[in-house]
Amino acid sequence: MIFDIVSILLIFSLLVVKYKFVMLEGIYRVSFVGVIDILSTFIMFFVLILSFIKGSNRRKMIVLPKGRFNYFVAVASIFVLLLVLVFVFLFDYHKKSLDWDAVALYDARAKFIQAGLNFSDMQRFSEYDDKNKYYYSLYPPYTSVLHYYWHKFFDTFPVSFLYAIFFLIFAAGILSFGIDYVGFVGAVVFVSLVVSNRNVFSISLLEYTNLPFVVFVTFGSLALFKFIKEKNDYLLFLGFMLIGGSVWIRFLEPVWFFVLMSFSISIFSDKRYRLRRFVFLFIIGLFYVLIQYFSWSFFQKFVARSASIFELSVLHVLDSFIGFFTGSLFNIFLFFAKSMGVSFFIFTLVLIGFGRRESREYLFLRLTILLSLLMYFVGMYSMSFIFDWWREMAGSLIRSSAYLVPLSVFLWIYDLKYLLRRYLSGNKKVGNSIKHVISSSLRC
Amino acid sequence: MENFQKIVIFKLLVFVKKVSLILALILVLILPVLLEKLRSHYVVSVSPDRKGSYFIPKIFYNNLTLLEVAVLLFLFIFFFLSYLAFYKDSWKSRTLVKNMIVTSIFLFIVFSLHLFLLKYLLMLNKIHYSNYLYSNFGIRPIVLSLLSYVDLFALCMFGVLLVESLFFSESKTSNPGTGKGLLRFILNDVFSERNVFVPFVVLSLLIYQSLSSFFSMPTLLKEVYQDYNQRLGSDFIYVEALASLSPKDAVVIHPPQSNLWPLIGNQPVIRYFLFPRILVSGAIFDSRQSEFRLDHAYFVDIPASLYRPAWPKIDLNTNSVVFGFKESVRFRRILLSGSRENIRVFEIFFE
Repeated sequence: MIFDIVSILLIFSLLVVKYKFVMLEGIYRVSFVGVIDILSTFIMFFVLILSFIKGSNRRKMIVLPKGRFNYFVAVASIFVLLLVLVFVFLFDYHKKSLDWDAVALYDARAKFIQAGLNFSDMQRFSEYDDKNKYYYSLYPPYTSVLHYYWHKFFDTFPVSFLYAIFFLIFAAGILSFGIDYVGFVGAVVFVSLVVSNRNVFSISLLEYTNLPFVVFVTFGSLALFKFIKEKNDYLLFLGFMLIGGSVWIRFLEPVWFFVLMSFSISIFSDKRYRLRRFVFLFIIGLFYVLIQYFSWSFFQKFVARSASIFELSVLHVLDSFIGFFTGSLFNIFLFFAKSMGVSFFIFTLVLIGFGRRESREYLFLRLTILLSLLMYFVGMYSMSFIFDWWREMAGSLIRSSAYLVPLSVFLWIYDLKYLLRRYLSGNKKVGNSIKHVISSSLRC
Repeated sequence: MENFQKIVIFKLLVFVKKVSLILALILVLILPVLLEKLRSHYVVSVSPDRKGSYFIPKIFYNNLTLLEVAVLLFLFIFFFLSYLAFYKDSWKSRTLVKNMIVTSIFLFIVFSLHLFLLKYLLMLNKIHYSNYLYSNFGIRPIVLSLLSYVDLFALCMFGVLLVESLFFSESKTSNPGTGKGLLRFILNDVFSERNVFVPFVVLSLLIYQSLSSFFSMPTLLKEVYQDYNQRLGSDFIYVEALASLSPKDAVVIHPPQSNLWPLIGNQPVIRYFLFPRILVSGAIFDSRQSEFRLDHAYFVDIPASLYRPAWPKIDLNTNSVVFGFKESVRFRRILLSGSRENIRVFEIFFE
């Protein structure tokens, strides 16, 4: 329940941002794309609320397993969780300066809005700059508008505090989600491992787009996961709105495309989902996400008239093709794996699906992880032929792919729980194996 | 007797097959790095009068030192022998899982320690100065990175082999067709419901990542209390001087965006502090000389240092100034607008 409410609140924050954005951008407001964008967002939100009220009574709770070991794990995890939250709140509250990109863009744009400028005006700043022509419209307005409201209403707290709140929302949402699927103990282990994970923890201390993006994409994916499991309409709207909303936070990585691709492959490869009603709802959701994508690119190109960050040329395509044979592919793969570090092993190990015949919802999560990894790798590979600073993308890669952490940890907890459940229920196949491993290890 | 011969030949074949697979994998892993080395060597040091036969010996004796080659060879042989030891048990009996686990855990620890040692050595370069390892121990970081790849590979391999060993006997007895060969093992066992090894590996990796967050707390705490001059770099004082010594409606010229002036050359970053002033990059004077006209503007004088020239280059004899990298602009006069902590901001009037 908390997961749903928190997700709806996030979508509401997106509505507030859009409202401010269209109020600022007169040309966009009266354009065809702008009108479609505003109308579709508000109608979807309205439909979401209605379907939520209608469908939210169908809930099930899982009875928690009891035992001394479980209590110990739960208490330890809660301790870690609280410790991380306290650290994040303290750090964000005491932050003296903002980070580089926040100074250059996210908080800067909030400052310019406060001075009475709008986003298309900011494009004129680059008139006397030989570089950065594309800069002010490179990222959608979500974080900047939130910064603007924060400065307006809560200026006694530093703007970094907003990110601590996002972090809390994130922890609360995934805890509530986890309780429904892996029980209370599993959920606290899940949340404590996610929030204390270095990739996730580090983005909570930066005033960047990464944390809101991770929250939107994670919640969106989990809502779609829930939809496959529970087949409740509002979850589909929730998932699509969150995934579509992520486009208005970060535009550079087409994560939305790969999440939706995994979703459609997972459900439409099963006959039971090929019902006319599902297909209809899916198409509506897909249209909504596409509108989100094209509305921002329309604004970038035609309203703000921003330059493109890169121009694709024949040479770049040719270079990336030749790279298959000259070893560049392998070199970049090594660099990619190295920059992701331990996370790369976690994502790939979770991917192989240790120990379970897939049901659709788990197939969806695994596909999302697989396709996202492929997307980041292909992205880095092709960028390496365009920009000489491609190695610097490593940090950005880790930050923006942090949404894979909760998905992987959830899958891991689920698989482990499945194994343990089979072991505890006396299933010989698993039980023998575990006993075998433990006893042989002890004997050595 | 004939039966015994057949068994021996069969075992040998299996052994050769597996060992060659491992060696092939190592080669695949090492080859690109070696090729890269070969390529850079070819590009850099082969002159037209020295080619052919001299080429390969030079790489091994000059570029890679004998010690480095020895360490590399030792690692390969060690890896090879470990693999041998690992499979020796399985020849005697198909159920000797215990010894396999012992071997495997031992090797896992050895390779992990080796990896940590390499990482520690590489860290020394970062802690002291970039050429520390080579100047003190004659070790080049590239070789260490190369060795760490071998380690990582070995760790992964032993991880997989350990899991294989856990299910080796069982799968053979239950279904004689399975359990042979790595590929079939992966298809049959990694995806099987009985695999418990991988979840524990993932758990340890996750705990490692969580712990590293806690270990990084002191560094993070330091960053939290950093001011802009610490976070953005020492050039921030110039931005502060411009903000306090130029009027809000001024036109401010700043250095071109480059490695020489990473902060003050970056227009979006300094705009945060100088808004609403109009900012003009020095590079504009290079690229749009003919159409670009300014009446007067402000700039900060950045003195020369060890790693960069002074900016801007002012020639008082010809009354010209270079704001970019090449094109000069003529001016009528330059006035000192103010100074703050020895940093001077000027107002320039163009012709």
